[in-house]
Amino acid sequence: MQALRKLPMTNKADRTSFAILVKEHHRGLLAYATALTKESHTSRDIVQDAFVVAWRNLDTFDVTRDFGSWMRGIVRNKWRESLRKSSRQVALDEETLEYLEAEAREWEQLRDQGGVFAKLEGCLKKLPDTLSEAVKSFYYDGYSSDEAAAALDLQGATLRKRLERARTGLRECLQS
Amino acid sequence: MKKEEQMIDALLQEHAGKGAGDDVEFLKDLEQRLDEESSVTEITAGQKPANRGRIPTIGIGIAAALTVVAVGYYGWEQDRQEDLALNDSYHVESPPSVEISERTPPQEEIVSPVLQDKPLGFKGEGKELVKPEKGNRIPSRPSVSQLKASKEEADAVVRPTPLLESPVKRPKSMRGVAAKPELRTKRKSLELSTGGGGAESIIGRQYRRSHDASRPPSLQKAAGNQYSSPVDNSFLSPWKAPLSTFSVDVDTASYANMRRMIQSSQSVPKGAVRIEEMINYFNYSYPQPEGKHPFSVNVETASCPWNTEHRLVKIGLKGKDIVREKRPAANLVFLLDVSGSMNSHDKLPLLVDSMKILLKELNGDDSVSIVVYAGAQGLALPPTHVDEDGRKAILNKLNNFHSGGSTNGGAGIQLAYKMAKKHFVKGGINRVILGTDGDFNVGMTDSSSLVSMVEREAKSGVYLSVLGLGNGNFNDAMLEDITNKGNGNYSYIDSLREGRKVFLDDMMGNLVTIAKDVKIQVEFNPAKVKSYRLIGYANRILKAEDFKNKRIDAGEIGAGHTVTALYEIVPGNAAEAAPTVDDLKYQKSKKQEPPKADRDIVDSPEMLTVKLAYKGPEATKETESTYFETAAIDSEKAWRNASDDFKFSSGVALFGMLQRGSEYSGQGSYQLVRDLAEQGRGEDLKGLRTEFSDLVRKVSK
Repeated sequence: MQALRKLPMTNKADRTSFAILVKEHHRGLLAYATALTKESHTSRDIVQDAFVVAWRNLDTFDVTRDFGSWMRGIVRNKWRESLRKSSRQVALDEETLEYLEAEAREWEQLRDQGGVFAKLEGCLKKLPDTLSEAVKSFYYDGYSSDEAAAALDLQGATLRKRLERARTGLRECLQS
Repeated sequence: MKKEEQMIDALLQEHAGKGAGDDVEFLKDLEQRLDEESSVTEITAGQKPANRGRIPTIGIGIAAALTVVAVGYYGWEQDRQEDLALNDSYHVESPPSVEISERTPPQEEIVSPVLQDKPLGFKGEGKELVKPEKGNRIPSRPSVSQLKASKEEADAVVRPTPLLESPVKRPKSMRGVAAKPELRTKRKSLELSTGGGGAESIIGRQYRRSHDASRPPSLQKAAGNQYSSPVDNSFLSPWKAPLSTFSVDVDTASYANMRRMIQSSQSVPKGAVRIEEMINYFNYSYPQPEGKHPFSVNVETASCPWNTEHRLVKIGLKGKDIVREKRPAANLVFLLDVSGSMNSHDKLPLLVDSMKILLKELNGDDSVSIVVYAGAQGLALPPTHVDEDGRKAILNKLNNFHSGGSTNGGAGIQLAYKMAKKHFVKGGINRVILGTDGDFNVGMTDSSSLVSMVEREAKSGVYLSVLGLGNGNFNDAMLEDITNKGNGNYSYIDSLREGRKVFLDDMMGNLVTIAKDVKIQVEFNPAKVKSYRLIGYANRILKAEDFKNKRIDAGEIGAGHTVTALYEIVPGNAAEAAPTVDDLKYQKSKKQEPPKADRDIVDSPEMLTVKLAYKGPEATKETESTYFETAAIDSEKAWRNASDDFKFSSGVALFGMLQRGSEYSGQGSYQLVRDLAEQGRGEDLKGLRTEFSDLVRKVSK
């Protein structure tokens, strides 16, 4: 288990300590919400709302528990709310949700190594060139897989395969 | 995308957007919202002493407009209940109420001393500020003295929440790379339609509103999800459940939708695979009915291709063909979704082209009206007889549709039914034909209220057809739900060829409903059947007593339609034990079956009896159903000697089971599906069975 975050309990400092928690968790939660919604705008709104809800209900937060998983619970609820409102999104099955939660939890423990994003940067450097250019083109240049394939002079299927391998490689690297 | 990859995919996207540092914009926005929050709670709490202390506060107040405050407060009180009540990881306790005797409304921002001393770096000392006692709670509100104290300390007013402390760090390797959000969004929306493989409804079950208690729960669908997830029926013992009852289903949308996904190399969400709709997409050559009943019943048995120890029973119904010239006059009301989302070439333009095909089939006795709905619904074309002038007027209208605005499906449907009732043709075809991508995003968005409205209207004798179009935001579950309740059928159009099939082959059949509330009940002979399993129809299962209940709604059969259902059967003489049936909770006896001595059964060579209940097309809820039955004896033949239709339909069923990842697929494989489809192809005049083989080849590659 990751080290449980303790909320500083001075009367005047909850906003301050909340700010610390927000800073620490917002990027991870944004990634988590993106995994749920597959859409960065929606996930941004959801995480914003979730933090506001958390802030309002800070007094019900059990400080002995983990803030990250509490927040992910709220994010999930906000996401479900958005699912009901919008038919554009797809629900995920329980197994996938558990999977996402487990992975998010694991990543939180990378705090000691500078956080998951810092570690990801290290891992990206370790990718072989063929995979890293696929990742760069698809994720960082924002090309569609077909456009990226065209840019790299590859078959669409080859590029998708490379992306798949890159993702697998990155996951393994993050776990190491 | 596989579930294992979804998080890393999201992580990469997130990293590509903002690097490894803080999302400054996000924090800024949040800070502002929290500030608003604070002022809201402060002022509201001041005005409503009863609520004092219930709100976690931070002791910062900025004046805000009172109206905003009041609205905001009630809003959040509701939200808060909802958010927390649904929170699945934490038990919600009521917040401790802290009594405050009196308090001064804060005039300026107050800053904690801690904040001034210690910068709030990510791994700063803030972490170790104070060690709280286990189980301690954050006090809701600082006391007056504390407020004052902190006020003194905070002479220089500083922003209370320096969320934006560290500079944004961009990944070095990726620095300077401009993102193209518009491309990203496009790609994402495509992926959305498949949801990475497992788009099953887990949420819907909790939020489902049961609006019709008379329907079995399995018929009620989750609201708001794209795909609901009917479970696979399990094996049942005839000793425990001698009767298997279900409603017919002539929907075909699942197959066409699935075909689109496979052809565009997307993964198919399990919930989108409805095996009965796949089987019923294809026509089977059953004989025309003889005698007084409007459809024939055909039972064929052979060994089960994916488990040769088992038997497979195919029950096929065939609706009486009606010669097209003799078709009664039609009163058709097209309800067209012209919202912005319908703009793409595979939606509204495709629908219009398909309608033109239908138009050729209509004549002066028929009338067509068109209602459009988007931001505002409207009558685009009043009921027009399809004579020469009318035809021109209709074509002219069809050629001038523009899509735009958002969808209020509910209001549009009301108007369409009104039109249909106004020009009701007695003894004729009265039908509302809804063409949409299912994106009901304004107005009566709630699936269940929309459905109950459709259900209400269906009683007036106006039938409903739903045509699903496009991909991306296609709301499968809602569309199916609407037609299940609205005496209707539901098809999916992905090409002009499919449009022709739906409008000419299916719809002209659909238009003439020859029987409605058609229910099938199969009674199994326990001497011949150890256990049985209905393949597909999971959301069409009825209770045994519903069969005789005239008030229970069920599916329709149109002229020339075929309906096919398959049962997998563990024969009575099988060496193996019957597949495990769920243990009974309330019966003490652990025995699955009555002891031998109690097995008092009629000595019969028959394996099963198929009973049918139906009503004439113009019957009402109060009309008594007509019943008839057919018994069947197991042919003992192997599937290789069975009919083409038997092989083909079992191939389609197996394909669906494999796509659903069903535990019952036995030794079934895509190779077997291909064999069954090849051997069962028959004449295949329309090439649909060949297309199926191509589809299987693509999947099995």
